[in-house]
Amino acid sequence: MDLAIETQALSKSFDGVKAIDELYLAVPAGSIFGLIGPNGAGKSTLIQMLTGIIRPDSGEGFILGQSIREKNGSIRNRVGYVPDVPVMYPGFTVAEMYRLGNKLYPFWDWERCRELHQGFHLAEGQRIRNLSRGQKVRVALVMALALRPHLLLLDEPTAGLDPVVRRAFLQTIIEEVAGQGTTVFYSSHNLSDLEQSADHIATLYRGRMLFSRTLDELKESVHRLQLIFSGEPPEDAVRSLPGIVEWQKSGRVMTITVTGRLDSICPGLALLEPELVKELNLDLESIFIAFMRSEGYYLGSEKWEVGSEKGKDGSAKEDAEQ
Amino acid sequence: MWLDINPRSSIPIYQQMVDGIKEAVARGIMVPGERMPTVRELASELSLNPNTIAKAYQKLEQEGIIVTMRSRGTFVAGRSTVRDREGAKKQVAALMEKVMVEAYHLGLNREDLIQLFEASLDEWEKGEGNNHGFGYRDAGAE
Repeated sequence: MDLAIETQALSKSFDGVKAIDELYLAVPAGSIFGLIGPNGAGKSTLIQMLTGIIRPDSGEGFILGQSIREKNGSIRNRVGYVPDVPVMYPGFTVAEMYRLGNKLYPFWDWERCRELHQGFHLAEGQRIRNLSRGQKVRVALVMALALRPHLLLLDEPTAGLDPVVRRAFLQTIIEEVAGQGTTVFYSSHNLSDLEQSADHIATLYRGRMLFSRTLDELKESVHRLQLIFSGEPPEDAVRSLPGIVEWQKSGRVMTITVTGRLDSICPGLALLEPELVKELNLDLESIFIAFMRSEGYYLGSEKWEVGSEKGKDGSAKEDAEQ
Repeated sequence: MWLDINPRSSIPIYQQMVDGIKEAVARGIMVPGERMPTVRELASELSLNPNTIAKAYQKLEQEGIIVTMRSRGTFVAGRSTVRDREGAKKQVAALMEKVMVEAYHLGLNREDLIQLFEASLDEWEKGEGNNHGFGYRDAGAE
């Protein structure tokens, strides 16, 4: 498998605090790879290391086959980057930014630039300082695509965009991948965007990788089940089910979130003799929140209980086998 | 395309596509020989990941629902003849078991189930634009 991005034990600290902690990451070429994680998990630090803006303390990283420590940045001619807050010369007009792009990038494609510019309803004569954040993000995306990228690195590109612009943005990215085979690596808090457009999902937490899987595998390997018992639920037995992430008890009903394939979970469940087992829908956001809870990341009053030791072992083992 | 995909469902998107297209072919909404949109066309139309769509097409091809002809495109395949009849029976039996579990909890009995099954068979066979009667298929396979 061709990898567009690969990191090996990549690490970076700021003032003694580990932002990225021995991170291993593999991003297949041609994929739309979504990076999720709570605020401060290290997502922007990782992306900035991949672009070469900041240097790693230790470990290695490769983009498009070249080391991110490489001083000769020729590979970056083929990397489009849209930061969460685009940095552009405020006194430049949009047209001047494009001309700068043309001077900097050897594969700059004016036709592509014009086509995207018009599609995004931007005005060439406007100065950067007078643009809204949404407009700046669009200018940055036009430039990132006009340079004919093989890899796009996007840092929360859809945050703060209205639904129409967000849809147009995703559509553009999907067409780029379908048409050019470009690899897209993007971080986002908007999990329903990722659920629609991404094929791989990685979760970063405290600078470490919690899991990295295809979206299909993820959906097939996490389940929320409702168990209805005829009497008092055997709570202790349920809590020690292998792979259990969280559970909630309400009268005769227990609702649990478990990792593993359904056909390997069911025999263990049957031993508890529930009257009825029902699978509930579980979207990416709920999966993410369940994993975060099991790592001890939650706010406010929570009615879920999480992770017995046995359960944690089960899920960790399962992750290692992937 | 008329495919109804819910990205937020627990069912992976590729599986939803496979199920949707199989159903469309079975109901005669898509007919043998009909050209399928390309992965790229469909990705752009549905705003879905092209790799996911390619995966769905791959599964459909493995199951003999569609065929890809080099440089000409992808088409709905002709009616399949069942190669593994025992395997097919097992698959359908597993689906029926789910129906029976549901029926049990809703308090239906054996007679109700048989009646319902015959009624939906009749409904299926007289369905409009549907020339996939089970009697005909049986005769063809034996």
